[in-house]
Amino acid sequence: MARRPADLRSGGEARRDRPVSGGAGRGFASAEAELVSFDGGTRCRQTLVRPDRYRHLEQLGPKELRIVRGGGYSYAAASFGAGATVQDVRAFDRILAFDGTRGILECEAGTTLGKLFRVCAPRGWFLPVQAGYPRITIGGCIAADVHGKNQFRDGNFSRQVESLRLFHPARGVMTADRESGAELLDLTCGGLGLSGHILSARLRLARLPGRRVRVRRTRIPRLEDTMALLEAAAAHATFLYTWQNLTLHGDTLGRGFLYAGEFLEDGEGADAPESRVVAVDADTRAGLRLQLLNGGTTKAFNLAYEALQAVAPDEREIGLHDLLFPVARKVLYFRLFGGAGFHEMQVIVPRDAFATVARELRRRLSAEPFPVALASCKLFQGTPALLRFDGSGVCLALDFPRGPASGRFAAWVDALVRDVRGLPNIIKDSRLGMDTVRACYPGYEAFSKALHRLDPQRLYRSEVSERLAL
Amino acid sequence: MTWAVVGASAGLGRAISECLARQRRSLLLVASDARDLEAHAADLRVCFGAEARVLAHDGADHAALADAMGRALEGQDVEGLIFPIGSVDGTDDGRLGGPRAEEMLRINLLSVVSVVSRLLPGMMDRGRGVIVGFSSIAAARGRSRNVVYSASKRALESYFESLRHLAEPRGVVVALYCLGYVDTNLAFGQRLLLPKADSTALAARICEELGNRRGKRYLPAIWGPVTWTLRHLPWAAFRRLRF
Repeated sequence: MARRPADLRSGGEARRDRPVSGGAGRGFASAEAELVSFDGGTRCRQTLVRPDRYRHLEQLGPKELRIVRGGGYSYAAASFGAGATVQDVRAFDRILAFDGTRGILECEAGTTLGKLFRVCAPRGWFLPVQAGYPRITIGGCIAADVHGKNQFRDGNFSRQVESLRLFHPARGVMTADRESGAELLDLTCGGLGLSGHILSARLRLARLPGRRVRVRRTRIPRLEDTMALLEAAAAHATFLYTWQNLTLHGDTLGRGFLYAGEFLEDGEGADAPESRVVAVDADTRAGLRLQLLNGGTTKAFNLAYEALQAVAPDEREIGLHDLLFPVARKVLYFRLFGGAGFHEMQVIVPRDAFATVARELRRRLSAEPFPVALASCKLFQGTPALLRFDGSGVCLALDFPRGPASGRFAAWVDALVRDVRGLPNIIKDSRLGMDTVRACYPGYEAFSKALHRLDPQRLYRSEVSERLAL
Repeated sequence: MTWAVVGASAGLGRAISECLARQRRSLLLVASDARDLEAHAADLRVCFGAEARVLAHDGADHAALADAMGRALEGQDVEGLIFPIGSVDGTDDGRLGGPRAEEMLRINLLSVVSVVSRLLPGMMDRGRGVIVGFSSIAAARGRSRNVVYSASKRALESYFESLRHLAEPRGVVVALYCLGYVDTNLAFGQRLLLPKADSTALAARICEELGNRRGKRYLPAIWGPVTWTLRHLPWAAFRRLRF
């Protein structure tokens, strides 16, 4: 780990503090803002600053609690809470270097996935591992160590991170790569933004085989068939995921579709620029007062979606942009949960436990029907470490409306996941408790110790870090 | 032919330089911190293939800034000078100390005056060029907030009138934009009377008009009648306003 002086300055002259607006005279703009997690589960009112120059990053007090915020798309409150000053760093969104021969790109952490796609795709490169919305930032992808629909082939986001530059007020600017600073790199990828402020990242891109993807759809008769169908499809698919209906009863519960995508090498055109992206953030998502997707409508919603899918062709070609960023065109789905919000639970179920989980879900949902608005599976291949959401098995995601009974159902899923030694995704679940995380993540203690070694004062804090006692 | 943007690393200046880079103009980006400038220039090179050089210099040291820009642009045709530079201070309520007040005048007014005086002769000799300045609706009428800032911007407006009178007959186009609320750090967190304009959209408008727009213009346009009304409000009514 290479250490530099605690000052971020590298050539610019010192300047006096200049209050800009509404702030406390610390040289940058600040405001009191109410921030909400994307699932609507956590709300906090606190100080939000929006630095847009490097010198602003040095102007928080050295002992002031802080947390860095990118797009604010985390389902859990990883970028606010705990009384920390929230640093919105979306202005730091510049591409610093691009090596078009080796496919290495360096960018500031506020750079969005959409911008990278716009810059890299025309030059024949792309990031193989992406989160599902183009306005999510690179810093957010690193902090959450996100995955895509190709996790079983390409792993998590951290696999394409070559090195990082990180700022911590007590340690200055640190550089972490696989040779020097591997521990810091390890701690920061999937570290929930708690190890410091990611300034920039060097990313390894992949050659883009084509701009279009052929997606084949096959039927899944019932939930128990999911694992075998996913594994059979994995041999010849680049992208793989399912959509399943858990509002059905009897043998058909979990009926749905498996989608297997592969690049069309000679695919052309049909590029989807960001202007076609439907804008949404945690605030606008919660704009509807009514929760239209609720206990009374979820089954109809699922049946309608299934019917629409059933009449569509079994095979279709779509632009890579649309495949990588599906949320960009499905914003309405999230809005239907309204101000009350929703829960998302995402868990890695070990291969040998999937049958048990399917059986228990069937038993529970048959005895006590529950409005699961979306159930989806992906195949995972990897090894869990620290607090990274990684492992081998099936990644099962469940969305359901937030309501009086939702907490009880979520707690039941927690217990099931613990029983089968599964792994819940911390960043997707704003109510996940410390006990569950500690029980499911073998790396919990190691993460906590490494974090306290790096930052004994624990300056970077969020609601998530407080809830998980990190 | 080079376009120099003074105050290029953040806010409207950053948006304008991005627009110019998109048009593949050759750029000299000027701001106080080399780190911001280097990052911005790198981004413009990668994203747009633009030629972008940087000059890190504090606008408060205006004479030295003018010299440094003169050296950086030596032997080059300067096509345009754009000045989205400014400094405000939340404590600018009439009690601002002399040194800070002087610094604001240096940044908001004298940096523009010094750079223009250094580069204008060459532009007039060639009989072409564009100079764009930025004032603020705060300069419409003196009030108990932004006291020195308003004074410096009103002085800038007078300077640009003179500049237009002097330079336009010699082929140099002079424009001054009087900006309303813009969604930059200057307005972040403030409760404002009217919505904030998007700096990217304003930059696109300004870049579209470069070389064609002359004289003073309000952006967004709604601020024209608002400012006119404020100016013509009887003192008895104006003194009661708190904004």
